[in-house]
Amino acid sequence: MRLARLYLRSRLIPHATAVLAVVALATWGTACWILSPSGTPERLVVVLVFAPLAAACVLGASTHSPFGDTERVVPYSLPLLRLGHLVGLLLLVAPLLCLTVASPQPDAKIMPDRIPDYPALVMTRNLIGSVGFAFLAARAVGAYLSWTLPVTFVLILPLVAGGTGGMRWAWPAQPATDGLSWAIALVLFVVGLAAVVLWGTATQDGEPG
Amino acid sequence: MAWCVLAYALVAAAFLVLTGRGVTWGLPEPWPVVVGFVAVVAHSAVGYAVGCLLPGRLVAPFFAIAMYWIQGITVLNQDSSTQSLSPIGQGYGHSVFHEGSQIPHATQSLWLVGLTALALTVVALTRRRALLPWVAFAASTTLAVSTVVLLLMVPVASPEAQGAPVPYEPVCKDGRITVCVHPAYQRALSEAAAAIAKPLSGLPGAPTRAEQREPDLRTNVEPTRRLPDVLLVFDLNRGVFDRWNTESDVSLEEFVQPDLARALVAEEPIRVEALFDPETGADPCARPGELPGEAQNVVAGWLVWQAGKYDSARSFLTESGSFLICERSESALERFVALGESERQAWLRENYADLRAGRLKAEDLP
Repeated sequence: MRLARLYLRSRLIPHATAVLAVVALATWGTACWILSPSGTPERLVVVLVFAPLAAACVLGASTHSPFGDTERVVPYSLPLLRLGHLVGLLLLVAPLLCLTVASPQPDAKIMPDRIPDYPALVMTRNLIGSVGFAFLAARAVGAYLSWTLPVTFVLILPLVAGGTGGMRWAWPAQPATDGLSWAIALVLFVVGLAAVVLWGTATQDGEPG
Repeated sequence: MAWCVLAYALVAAAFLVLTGRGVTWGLPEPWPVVVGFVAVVAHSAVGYAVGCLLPGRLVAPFFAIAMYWIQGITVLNQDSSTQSLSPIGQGYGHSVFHEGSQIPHATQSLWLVGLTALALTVVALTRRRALLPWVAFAASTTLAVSTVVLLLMVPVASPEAQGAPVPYEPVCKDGRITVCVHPAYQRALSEAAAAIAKPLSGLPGAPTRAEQREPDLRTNVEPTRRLPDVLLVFDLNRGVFDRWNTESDVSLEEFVQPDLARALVAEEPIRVEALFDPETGADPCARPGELPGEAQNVVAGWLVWQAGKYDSARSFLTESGSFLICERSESALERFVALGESERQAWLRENYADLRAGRLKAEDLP
C-alpha cells in the first residue's frame, strides 16, 4: 500500500487532480455561458473537443517517472501500478467532464437542433481518444512533450472538419452516433494505454523511463 | 521557439500559396500574418516566464491549453472589444466589399510585443534586480497597458467598425439576362449562371441584369429593400472559407446558383431560416397553410435544375439539401419539371409578376 502511495505521489497525482478539477470547472463555466441566451450553442462542439484535450494533456504529463530505470527494481508489478494510476485518473475525470456538459440546461429559446446530440457521449469518446493520443505521444516523445501531438492535431481540426462532410479522420468533430469515430478513439486509447503501461514513457534521450 | 517560428512561417507560406492559386481578385493581407508571427513569439515568451516562475511537468500543457481557451472565449464573445486582444480568428468572415476588419493590427502587434517584453523582464527580474531590468519592466508594462486600453476602445461589433468600401468593377456574363458578380467571385460565373437566368428572359417584368451585392456578414441578415425591376441582388455570403470546410466536390458556383435563382423569382429575399419558429423549434412544414416563399422556392429549384447540373428533379431534390424544406414542395417541383416546355413558358408569362411579388402559393403552380 505504501508503495502504491509513493508511486502516486511520484506521479504528482494531487497536482494532476487539482488541475483536472480546474479543467472541469472551466468546462462547466464555458458550457453554461454557451447555453445561455447570450451564447452560441453550436460552439459547444469547441468545448467537447478542448475539455477532453486539456484533461488528456494532464494525464499524459502525469505519466512521467522521476526515477527512470531505478524504478524497475521494485518488487511489485510496475505495469499494474501504471494501469491503476492511469485508469483511476481517467475514471475520476470522465464522469466529471460528462457532468459539466450534461448538467447546464440550455436556455428555453435555444432550438434543440442547435445543440450537438448526446454531448456527454461525445465528451466520453473524445476523452478516451485524446487520452490515448497523449499516451502514445508520451511513449514516443516523453511525458513532458506528450501534450504537443494531441494539441497540434486538435488545432488543425477546424481546417479539415467543418461541414457535414468533414474529413472522417477528424474524429473528435464527428457526431456521437458516428461509429468510425468511436472505433478510432477506442483503438487510440487501447494502444496508447498498452504502450505506456507495458513499456513506460520515453525519456528525453529516447530511453524508456 | 525558433522551431515554432519556422513552423508558423511554413504554414503561413503554404496558406498564401494555396489562396493565391485560387483567387481572381485582391492581394494578400499582410497584417494578420504579422500579428500571428508576433503572437507566436509572445506566447513562447509568456510560457517561458510561467515555466520559470512555476516549474512543473503539468505547467506547459496546462498553460498552452489555458491560453488557447481564454483567447477562444474572448473571440466567441463577439459583442466585446476584448476579442481585439486575441490573435485568434483574425479576418474570419471578412467581406470582399470592405477593407479588412477594423481591429487595429499595428496596435495589436504592439500589445503582443509589450507582452513579450513584460514576460522576459519578469524573468530577468527574478534573476537579477538591477536598474536596467526595472526600467525595461516599467517600459514594457506601459506599452502593454496602453495598447490594451487602445484596443478595448475600438467598437469591434458595431457597424462603424467596418472598413471603407473597396471600389471594384463587376465581372459579367452577358446574355439576355446579364449576370454580374464581384471579381473575387469570378470563378462562380460559369455557363450555369447564365443558363439559370435564361428561361426568364423576355417575360413581362423580367429583369435584364442580376448583380451581386454585399451581404451583411456580421448579422447574417439580408437587406430588405425593394429593388428596381431591372436589378436583382443575390447573396454570396458563403465564401471561399466555407468551400475549404466542406466537401471538396462542392464548387463555389454551386453555392451561387440557388442564391441567384431565388433572387430571380422573388422581389424580397426568401429566408428559409425565418420559417423556423425560434420559440418552439417546430417543423414549419407541419404548420397548416402556406409557407412564405414556397412557390418561389419551387420555381427557383426548377431554374437550378434546368441549368443542367442535375440529371432529374429527384436527384436535384436529393442533392440540394435544404433548398426545398417540405415534401409538398418537392411534389410541386416534380410536377413543374414534368410540364411541357410551351405549357411552362405560358404559365410563367402569365404569372411571373405575381410570383416575384409573392402573391402565388404552391398550390397555384401548375
